[in-house]
Amino acid sequence: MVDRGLLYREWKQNQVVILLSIAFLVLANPLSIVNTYLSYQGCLDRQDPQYCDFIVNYSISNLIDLNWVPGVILAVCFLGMERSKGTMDFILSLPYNRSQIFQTKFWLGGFVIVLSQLIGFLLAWLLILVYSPEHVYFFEHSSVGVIVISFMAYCLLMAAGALTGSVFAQLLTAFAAAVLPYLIVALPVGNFEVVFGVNIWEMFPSPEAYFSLTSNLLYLVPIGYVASDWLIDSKYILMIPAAMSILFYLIGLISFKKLPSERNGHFFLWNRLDRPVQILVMAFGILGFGLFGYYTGHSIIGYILGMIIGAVAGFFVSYFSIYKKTKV
Amino acid sequence: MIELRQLSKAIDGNQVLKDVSLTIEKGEIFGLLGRNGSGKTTMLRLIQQIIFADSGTILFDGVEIKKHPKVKQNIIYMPVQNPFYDKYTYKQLVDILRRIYPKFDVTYANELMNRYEIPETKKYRELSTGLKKQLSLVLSFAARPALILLDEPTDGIDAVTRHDVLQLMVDEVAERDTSILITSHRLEDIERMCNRIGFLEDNRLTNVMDLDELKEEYIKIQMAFDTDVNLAIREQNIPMLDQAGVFYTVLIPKSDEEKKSFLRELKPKVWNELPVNLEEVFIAKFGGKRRW
Repeated sequence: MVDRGLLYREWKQNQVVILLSIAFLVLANPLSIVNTYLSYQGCLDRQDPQYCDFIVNYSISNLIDLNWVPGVILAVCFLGMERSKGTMDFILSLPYNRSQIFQTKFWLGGFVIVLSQLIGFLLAWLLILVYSPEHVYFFEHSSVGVIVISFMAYCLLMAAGALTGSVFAQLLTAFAAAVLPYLIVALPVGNFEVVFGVNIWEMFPSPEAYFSLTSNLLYLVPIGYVASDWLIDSKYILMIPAAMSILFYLIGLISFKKLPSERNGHFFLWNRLDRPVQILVMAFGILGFGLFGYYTGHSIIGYILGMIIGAVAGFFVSYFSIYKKTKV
Repeated sequence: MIELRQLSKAIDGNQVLKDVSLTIEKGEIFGLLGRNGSGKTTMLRLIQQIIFADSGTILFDGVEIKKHPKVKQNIIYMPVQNPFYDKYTYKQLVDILRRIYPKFDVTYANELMNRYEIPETKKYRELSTGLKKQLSLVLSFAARPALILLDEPTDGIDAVTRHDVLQLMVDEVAERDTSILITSHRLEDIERMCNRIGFLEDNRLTNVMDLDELKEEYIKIQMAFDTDVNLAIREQNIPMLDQAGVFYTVLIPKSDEEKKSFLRELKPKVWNELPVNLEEVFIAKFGGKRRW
């Protein structure tokens, strides 16, 4: 599945990025503990001990919240950069099948992300034992959750990289996919409310039922996991990004094996995606700008004007990003 | 050794290759000619499975490359530019390639590096165009492939370096029976190296010919006349390579006694029969239309 020669080539090609990613992912978690400890020590130096608490709480802003970033960078280096720089041809010319090439890249990045964070988790756990804080909240849940979420982000970027022909296209496609479930549901609902003059939440038995549904639906939106709201919910919520990871991995593997590499530099490697995606972008432009136009003046004129602007903007944005080939 | 069967490929709706078939035997140097955009590079990329054919199969020693990519350990593709090499020195590249190609011969690579005096400590991107080509060739040959696919190997290099590059290829074939598929715009390079040539035109591989036989087919005749015979020669559709005053140089098939008799009937004062080169054959064969 993973070839050693190919693995070595990937390592040499992305040595610096891999080492920096490992360093960040290993250190992020223990540094958070050290940071909390130093803050506590600082407090003790300035104030009476009764006013200082040594509490490690992962539900408040934490360095490991950024652990998805190295996954994004690794995936961009593994696929988008290779296509943009023209080095993908060299890899494809080597005596390996495409499945081996993708698997080698994927699992190299995957192991960097997961193992580095596990080491970081272990170091943080040791630090907690050494420092003995008064309370520790959400440590395991947060640390494991961040591993799952950063792996999902990596899988999403790898899938986007296997579908597209440049770094820009990879990043844009991954971002669009990360917000797609939200756009597909929220924009039509918002427009429905404007056109029919109703509030969707009024159709529910209670406002709580509506807000419960929307907050649960947000867990189907990959970008929602950037915020740490999932931490206060059930641990089983993490099954959703885990399942998404598998889905994105399969999309990436199949796309890398099947899609034509001669379209490197184009937005999508499979040109049959061009038109449907352009239509989708224009539809989102119309619905999104329409809503924006309506809510600026609460008038139907603003709504229609917004839709027209959205259609034009959607057309040009999609045309120039999808149909204009970047130089490789 | 390598066999292309009914290979077709369209890119973005444009048919680049259609029903291309070709076999290259062990130790053979095959020259692929064609204008820019005729599909020469596409053909090499198809063989190396960088891109997939729409239809047709490519076999190496009877094994389909697409289904068994490991056989590519015996095939090396040297593109016009290789951006992957850019940031590495010779030693680093050897370190990478010897893990990918089990037969990679480091001693032979070192020997070639010394023979051609290629700097070993400089990064690939810091080398001149000629040295880059030489280093790529050294690495390609050191992998001990049975077949090397060379895309414009003499493009953009000076005459002396070109001589070295060509000599390196000739030596390799002579010593190790390596097969080479080479694309080039330079007819003189093709002529110097290749046993057989083929021409990519209108998506198809045409005029696959043995080079020596081809050159034997034609004869170049230098003549001098008392009068202007230009029109008379042209009326007979005899390709004229050159005319300077009353001196004429024409090309005719060796076996075409009819045309030879016609020229003799014009009573030339001078009659010299000379061997032809590839460019002259092409002028004769394709009616002076530049196709390479």
